[in-house]
Amino acid sequence: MYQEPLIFPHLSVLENIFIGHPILDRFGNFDTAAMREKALPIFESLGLDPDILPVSISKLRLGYQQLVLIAQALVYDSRLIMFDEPTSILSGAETDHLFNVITFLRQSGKAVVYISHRLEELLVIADEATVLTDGRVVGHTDRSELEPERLLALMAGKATRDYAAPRERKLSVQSEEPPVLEVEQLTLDPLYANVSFAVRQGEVLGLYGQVGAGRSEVALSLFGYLRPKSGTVRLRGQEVRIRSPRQAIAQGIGYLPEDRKLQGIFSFQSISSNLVSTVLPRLAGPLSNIRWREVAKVVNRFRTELNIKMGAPSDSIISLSGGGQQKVMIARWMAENLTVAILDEPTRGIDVVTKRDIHDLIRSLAEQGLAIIVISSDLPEVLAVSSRIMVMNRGSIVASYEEVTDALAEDILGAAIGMPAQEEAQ
Amino acid sequence: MSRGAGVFRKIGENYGVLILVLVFTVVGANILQPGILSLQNVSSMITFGVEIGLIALGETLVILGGGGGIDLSVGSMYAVSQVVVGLLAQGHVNILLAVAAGLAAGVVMGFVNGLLVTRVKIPAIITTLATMYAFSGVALLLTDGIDVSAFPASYSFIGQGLIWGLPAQFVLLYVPAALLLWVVLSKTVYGQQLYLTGTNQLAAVLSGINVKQVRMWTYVITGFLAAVAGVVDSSRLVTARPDAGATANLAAITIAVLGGTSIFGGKGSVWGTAIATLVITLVSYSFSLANINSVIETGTIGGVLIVVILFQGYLVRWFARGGRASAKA
Repeated sequence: MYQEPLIFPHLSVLENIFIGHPILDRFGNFDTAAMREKALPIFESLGLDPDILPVSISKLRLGYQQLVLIAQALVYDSRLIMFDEPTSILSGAETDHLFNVITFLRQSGKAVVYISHRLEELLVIADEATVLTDGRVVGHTDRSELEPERLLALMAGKATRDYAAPRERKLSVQSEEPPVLEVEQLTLDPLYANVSFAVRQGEVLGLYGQVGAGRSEVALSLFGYLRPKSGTVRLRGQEVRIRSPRQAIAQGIGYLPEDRKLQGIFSFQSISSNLVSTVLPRLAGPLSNIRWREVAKVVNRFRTELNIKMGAPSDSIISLSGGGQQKVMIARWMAENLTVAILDEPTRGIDVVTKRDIHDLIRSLAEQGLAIIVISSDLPEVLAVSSRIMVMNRGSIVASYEEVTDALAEDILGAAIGMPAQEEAQ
Repeated sequence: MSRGAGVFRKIGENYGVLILVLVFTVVGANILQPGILSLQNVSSMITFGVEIGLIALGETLVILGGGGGIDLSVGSMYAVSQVVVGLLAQGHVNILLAVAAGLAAGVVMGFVNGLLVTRVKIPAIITTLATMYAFSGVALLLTDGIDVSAFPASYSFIGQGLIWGLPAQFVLLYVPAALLLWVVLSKTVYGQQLYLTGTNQLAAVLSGINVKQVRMWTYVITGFLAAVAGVVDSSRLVTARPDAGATANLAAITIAVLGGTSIFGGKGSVWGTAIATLVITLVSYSFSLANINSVIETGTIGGVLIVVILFQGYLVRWFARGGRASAKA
């Protein structure tokens, strides 16, 4: 079972169930009656309505499609069924239905693997749990030990271990100073709702949360790529309406996108073209002619400043390592005179050394007076670079922390995955 | 690697196959029709090539801009603009004004294409397929489908005159247009932004590039260049033909692609398109001079296109390996 149902939208429910293994009559045609006969008892046991069998599957709600696909697994007589975040698209009632089905599967002797980051679900249906962090098994508990505190400790364990290194530079922020960026009740249904926060100069605001919590969407809205439905944004005390990334840049807001390959790099183009893509108009002469000497200056400046290992600036961006590419992406924004920098997953897919370089860079940029928002689903990273931390879950801010200490790791994690007990940590 | 070798490699990578094909075409044309490269022949070949060459330059920009950019309506714009000039000349409007109106018509049609593609967001292939028919209909409607030839004698200079022994339209229009576009593409902010937009639209938007406007201009420029080509055509034949340019649509795309323009955007150059124009013109001209059936001519052009595309990839890998025959050995 995938997170999103894998269906053939124009085929009927019945055809979807028997996809790849249809029952054929002796002329090689689909034997609809036989397939129906085989599917009926399964539908009955799953509590599904047999009337939907001939209906085109795309007419069903997403949650119902998910359940239909379970029928598919049963038709094949599977003995092990794996669910990958099945509830991420289900409503409360559908989730209950799914849990009933899983209980039924268990009773009829099937093994079930259930992948989820929602602890409360595991507490309901799991017999035992294994915790994976960064591709490694970090712990295993059986039924008797299946408690939220224990799971959180396992999940957060790595976070506190990795960052034993002290944050030597505590950022001193004048809290009397008015915030550079104030966001009030920003809403864009169904992606996020009523998001309010403020960032001051010289501050790094860590925005933590699971993938899909709505963090990037908030960032893209501040950057003018998405249009929020309601809410206000004030920049240096002035209310602004930003309608495009171009306007955002003119206002001094920069956004480092989370997906470098898709949203960041220009693959066939040179390192220099990639680096100056945001500042081209400012490097041009009176006839809109690019002053290549200025471009070279900018490239050389950041090559030294960020220690980017590269051949010639005219080489393709692809010739750089992932870390090198990311440094070029960051340099792109350092070349602008920004007031607010939003860095979305600044170290995703990057080697450890470069990662540390980038963390140092983020801190020193803040010291130079930039207001920085770091979006990350890497808890150690958030703990390492932030002066304040905010947590998002399912489109809203669920917790915020003014002081950052490693001891917060479990609280933050708990808030991010929607543990009710942890939410009062505010 | 020395700078000289780097330049050589760049030229080899980008134009290697094309230059080889050009050499083959020249040799082949000579065998087919000995003496084809006489001064007179070259001159009339250039005359032939200018019109489709201008249109192909515009097509290169549109395709370069990426996002499925393509302009199928170039031939129709070419017809409309010459008809506009012809009809105004027939109505005794000052010929310079008439030409200006013809060019303006091209700009307006290009603007319509650009508007539909970038603002209304209809895919370019559908937009320009529709406007190909629509513009062609306009040309036929304006003239009732009849050729117009009421030009003043002076008008024929653009298409028939000679400057330094070369066709006037080549010296006065094609060369300046190609040079100007080369400067725009390689030296200006707009050119850079066009390459970036074609390479990765989303990254371009997130870099603050006005992608819609960048693409809009490619259609407007193409409309203008198609109109210029239309003026040249009507001047050369001293006739404005409402049905001119029917074959120009696909020929322009063929030339652009042959010249190394990536159909996915982000790659392409004025030089590549110029060389490709030369190849196609040479093939057409020598085949018609040798009286070979035009069916074979079109087949040959198709074959050349496939060979070039296949070898282009091979050559890029060959240079990437540092010129060794095979990596597997």
